[in-house]
Amino acid sequence: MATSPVVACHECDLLHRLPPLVEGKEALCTRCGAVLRRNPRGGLNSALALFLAAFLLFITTNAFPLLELHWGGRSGSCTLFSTALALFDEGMPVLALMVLLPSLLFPLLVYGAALWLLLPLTLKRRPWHGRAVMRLFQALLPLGMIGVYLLGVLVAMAKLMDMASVHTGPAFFALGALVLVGDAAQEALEPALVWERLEEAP
Amino acid sequence: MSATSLGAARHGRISCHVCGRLARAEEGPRCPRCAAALHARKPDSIARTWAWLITAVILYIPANLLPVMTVIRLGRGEPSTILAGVRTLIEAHLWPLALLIFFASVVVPLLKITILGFLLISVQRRMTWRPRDRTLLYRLTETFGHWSMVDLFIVAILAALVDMEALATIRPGAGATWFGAVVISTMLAARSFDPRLIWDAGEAHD
Repeated sequence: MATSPVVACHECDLLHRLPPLVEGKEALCTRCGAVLRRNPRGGLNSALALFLAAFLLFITTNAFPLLELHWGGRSGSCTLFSTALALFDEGMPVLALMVLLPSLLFPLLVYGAALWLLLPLTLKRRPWHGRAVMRLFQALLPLGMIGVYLLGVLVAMAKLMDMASVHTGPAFFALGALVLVGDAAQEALEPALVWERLEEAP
Repeated sequence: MSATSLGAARHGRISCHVCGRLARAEEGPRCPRCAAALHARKPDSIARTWAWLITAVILYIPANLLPVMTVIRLGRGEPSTILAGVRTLIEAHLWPLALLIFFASVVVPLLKITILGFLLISVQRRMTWRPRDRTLLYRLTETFGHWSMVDLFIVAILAALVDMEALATIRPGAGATWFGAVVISTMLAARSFDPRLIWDAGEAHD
């Protein structure tokens, strides 16, 4: 069957029979309050639009410097990528990966996977290897830390402000927008909806 | 919406942790919809969660003792641990930032370890104390756990930006790697804990 009206709460295991959800509403577990299922406004089309925007913002964020520093005649700047690269150069590959993966690679894969699935799905076609890509998407989703990175940029800036002339680069605002749009994109995608469509598709 | 009084496991049903589809236990070891392995409860949840928690506690020691970064100015190096970083912010009168870093790098990891430890003990002793609040606590650790990584990112950004030879250079320290390992351990601990165990004790009494 395409839809499964009976679900178990993933936090307390209580069984529920889900009623049809109005757009914009969500179903909560009656015992523990966990979200059982959401019906985001705009459905998969909204999710596609937002993930497309997020992807473009991601490219913009990485194409330009985030912060620029001027100190005693010398200057430096950093991008998301150069920050991780600097750690590799310092001979700290493990730390470099701890920064690179959640701030760059995982979000990229998340946006890529979302587009991989949503583009064909909204065109009523079957995505290639849909199940595997969806599993990858769900596995990487909690590991993206773009918002945390933005906070790091702000604190780093504040720490340097007293000593040197530091100002934001063009990528800074792209990063800010990315945090907001990326968040909205995640909210707009209900995994159960995707799984149902994957099951239906020929 | 109607609900039964018992959980899926008591009814012989298993919920897929990937796609949410409910399957009967007899339908086989894999989810019919997404082919993921089906488990009534996360396998070895208690043992694995304790393992990750203890790992986190052990790693917490070098993470805080070793410097997370060294500021080299005019030839002199000044190593700085996490707490030293907070103190520097206080001395610079950046109170909100000091509080933020203190919270993210010190309070959150400790709270996470304490809460998960408490949840584990409560499950092992089959306590029926406020299951809903305990589930809320679990949700909190999952939501805020990864914010502890902010200190790591700060160190990385400063190291990448301030690379000016004689004037000033900031180098990342080994403490940062250990601290990252602590955060990862706590995230894995939260991931391996099955919150449904909290409710199992209550159901056994029904």
